[in-house]
Amino acid sequence: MTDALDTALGDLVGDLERHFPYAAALLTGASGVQISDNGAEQSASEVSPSRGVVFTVYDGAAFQEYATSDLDPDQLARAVRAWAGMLTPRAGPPLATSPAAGEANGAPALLHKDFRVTAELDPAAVPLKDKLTHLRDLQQRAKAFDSRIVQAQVRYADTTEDKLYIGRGRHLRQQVIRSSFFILMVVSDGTTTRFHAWIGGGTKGFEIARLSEDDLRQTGETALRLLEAGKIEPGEYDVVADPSISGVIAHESFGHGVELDLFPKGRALSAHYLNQQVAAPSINMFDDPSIPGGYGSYFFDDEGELARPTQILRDGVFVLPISDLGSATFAPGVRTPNGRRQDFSRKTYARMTNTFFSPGTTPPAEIIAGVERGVYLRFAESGMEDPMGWGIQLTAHYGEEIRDGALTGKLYAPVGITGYVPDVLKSVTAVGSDFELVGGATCGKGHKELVPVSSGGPHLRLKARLG
Amino acid sequence: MTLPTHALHASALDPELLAAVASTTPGASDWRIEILHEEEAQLYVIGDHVEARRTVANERARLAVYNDHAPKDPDAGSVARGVTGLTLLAADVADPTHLAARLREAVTVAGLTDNPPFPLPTMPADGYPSVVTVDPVLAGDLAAPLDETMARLEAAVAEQDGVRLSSAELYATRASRSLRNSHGLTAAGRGTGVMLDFVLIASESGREAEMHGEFERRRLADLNVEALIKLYASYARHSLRATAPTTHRGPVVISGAAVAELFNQRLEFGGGPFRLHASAEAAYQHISQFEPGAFISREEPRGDRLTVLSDPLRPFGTQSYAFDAEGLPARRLTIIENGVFTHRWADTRYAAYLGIEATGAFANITIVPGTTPLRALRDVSAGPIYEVSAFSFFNPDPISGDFVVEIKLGYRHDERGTQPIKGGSLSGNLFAAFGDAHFSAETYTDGAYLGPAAIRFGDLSISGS
Repeated sequence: MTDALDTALGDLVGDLERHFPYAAALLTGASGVQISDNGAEQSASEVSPSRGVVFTVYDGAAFQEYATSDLDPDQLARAVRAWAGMLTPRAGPPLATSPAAGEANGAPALLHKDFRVTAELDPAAVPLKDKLTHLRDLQQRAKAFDSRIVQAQVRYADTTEDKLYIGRGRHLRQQVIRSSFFILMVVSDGTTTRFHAWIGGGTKGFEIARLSEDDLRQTGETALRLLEAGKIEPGEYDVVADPSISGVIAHESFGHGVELDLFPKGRALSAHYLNQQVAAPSINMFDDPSIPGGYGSYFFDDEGELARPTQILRDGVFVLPISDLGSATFAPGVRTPNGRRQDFSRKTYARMTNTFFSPGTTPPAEIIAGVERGVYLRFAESGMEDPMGWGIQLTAHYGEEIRDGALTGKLYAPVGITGYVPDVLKSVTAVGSDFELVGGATCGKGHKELVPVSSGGPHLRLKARLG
Repeated sequence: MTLPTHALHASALDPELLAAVASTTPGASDWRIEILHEEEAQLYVIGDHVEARRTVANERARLAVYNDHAPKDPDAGSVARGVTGLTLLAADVADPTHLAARLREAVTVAGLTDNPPFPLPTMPADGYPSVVTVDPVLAGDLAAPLDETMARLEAAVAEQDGVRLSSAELYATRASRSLRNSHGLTAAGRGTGVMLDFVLIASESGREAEMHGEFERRRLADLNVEALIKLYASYARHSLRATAPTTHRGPVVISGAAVAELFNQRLEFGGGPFRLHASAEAAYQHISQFEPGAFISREEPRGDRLTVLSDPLRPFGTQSYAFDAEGLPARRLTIIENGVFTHRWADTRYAAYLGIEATGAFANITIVPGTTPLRALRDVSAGPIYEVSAFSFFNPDPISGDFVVEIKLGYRHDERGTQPIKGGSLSGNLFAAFGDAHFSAETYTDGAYLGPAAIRFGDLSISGS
């Protein structure tokens, strides 16, 4: 970005601030590479940069935005002034203030900061040739694992995302490196075809593509074992959830369910349960964009709010929703650093970042040993929220039977988990002492507005309906 | 509100300029340039209050640069083809030195990857077909039609007893696209689109239930707001009194938006198993389960036989095109006929790899309807029938076709009448299910899917209470 553009954005925001209660500009850009290799084919391409700027104005009653990919300072100034000339200040709810930045009286706090992720292996410093060689080696090791592997694919992507926020006295820059790695192993015995995968993602560098021999072997072995997987008998089961399943439960239940933009829409049942017990007392849950290395991490959100953790559930009690500026204004509610947009062409909503249950004290092996008859659910594939009905849907790639406290080796695939959120969360009888955040995935608002997130937690023992 | 009429550096993203630079870049064996220009108005409403208005202007050029070189593996033939993609904005092309450097860098990247050689498409001898993708209503001010549509929506909701509007989002878009490649292919086209997303809440005796709808169309007139509100208001009211289903194995009817989801999963989630397994790419990568000449259900179907077409020529189809991403002309293609897999869809690359004809990208999906009236599919003379009208999120295993999905709203039909259900899950295998299926004579469309309004499957499982 040029100094001329930085200056132009600051001047334009200054002009807008003189006429409206709130004005800001967010400039976004990204660079990076995405690589795939299946042995027969290789590709390496630039990530789609989606560069652009969005100007936001709160006119006193509604938010108005102008977004463009045109970054020429002169063109931009003409367009923004033409757009702003059509807006009129109006009367409406006061703008939400930010308790974390000293704005208790609505006075903007002056803040100039420059943040950046430091990766162990900076993707920009690793030659593309070396990346391709490493990934080809992994692909070939995966393909050679067993003759029944009909396809082994490796995918890697890194993005260096640059953002500049100007507004309310803040001039914030951040550079976030976000990488993901995925290895897919498709197996066939001539009749049945199955797959298993290994996925990782974080605000990390090329180190994300390190895969141990043990991880590769387990991925291949699981894919082969899934050839024998059967269908689970529908019913209610004692369940042990691995951290990926725990994370999706957190994400779909009191993650989506407490996005504050749903409150003024009357869509969040949780609005009626603030400060009430909604989960077992052993459950604590957070959303935290400030976790180093988390796939959903950043230093400030798309509305200039500095990253910090939000505790959503404390000892099973719902204590705080997550918000963006609009929802904190209209709900109204407490501002948290969760204002995110898919890209400059899309609106900001209250969105999750890294969402998780915090660990307890029971070793995972002890959790499984405590189940007489149940299912160990592994590898979350997807989930869907229901913030008003508090239904929950998620799909595990597979589950393994537990009998008399031991895994039997019998697999079921896929396994669907459905239930009523408070029933599921209140049924938790053990919280593992382990903890894992699973990244590399995106989260939608309904079926759109995709943003990178992670979710996770410890192993959990609970009851759920499987099918 | 009118979109600002500022220049988007149209001259800077001039395809002639980009083509000239690409043609003179050393090592660029081939190239493809696509220039996209989009304008969009967005309106967001909470209840009767406007939450936000947005205007968006976005222009970019997407380039694919190819480099032919000796492969790293000496057993891989004499020539390997590498390809890389890059995206350029106006600012990238304003400086000729910078632009030339970006293209040289792209050649270097392409030179690092090895693939079996493949050609690019050439200009079709008969040119491109005429496909209707532009709504004249969206040619001018984009924001005004949004306000008019929102007013209609609010009026339609007001007519529904016990139902209110929670929130709505409306987008109106117009876009233009131009394409050319190093083999002399040139194409240009325009399109429009509208997107409506709304949530209705039904209330009764202190209880509430919501129903969410999301719709995309090319043409504003195809967004029948009044009919959609009436239908989704009834869904919301039914959801209020829905109970959990009982566990069941046997016939299940899937209808409406849910039946379209079986075939037409959103592209951002991979496009779904039918699109995947019918592709030449999946065949080349040894993951397709479809064998030409074989039943997709693996067994001879007992009921109606599935016929599936990819149809880019459908007027105002949301996935209609005159030319696809690489410039292949639109053509209608029968993928599955009477339950038997007949043709793979293929781009130029995978067509070359498999030695088959390039067909162009998969487009709108058309399913030939059956002859059975919908009411007959719900016939309960042989026992209760479950019907699923809305899934929470249909996301089948892309490789096996196995699925487990929560029932967002459905119905149990029995001799006592019809009772709404929700919760629990429906499971089965997407391909095997067509071994015993009956299609309604009535049809449904969601802009991309056009086919039976309901399908009765003989053997699916419901996990309920």
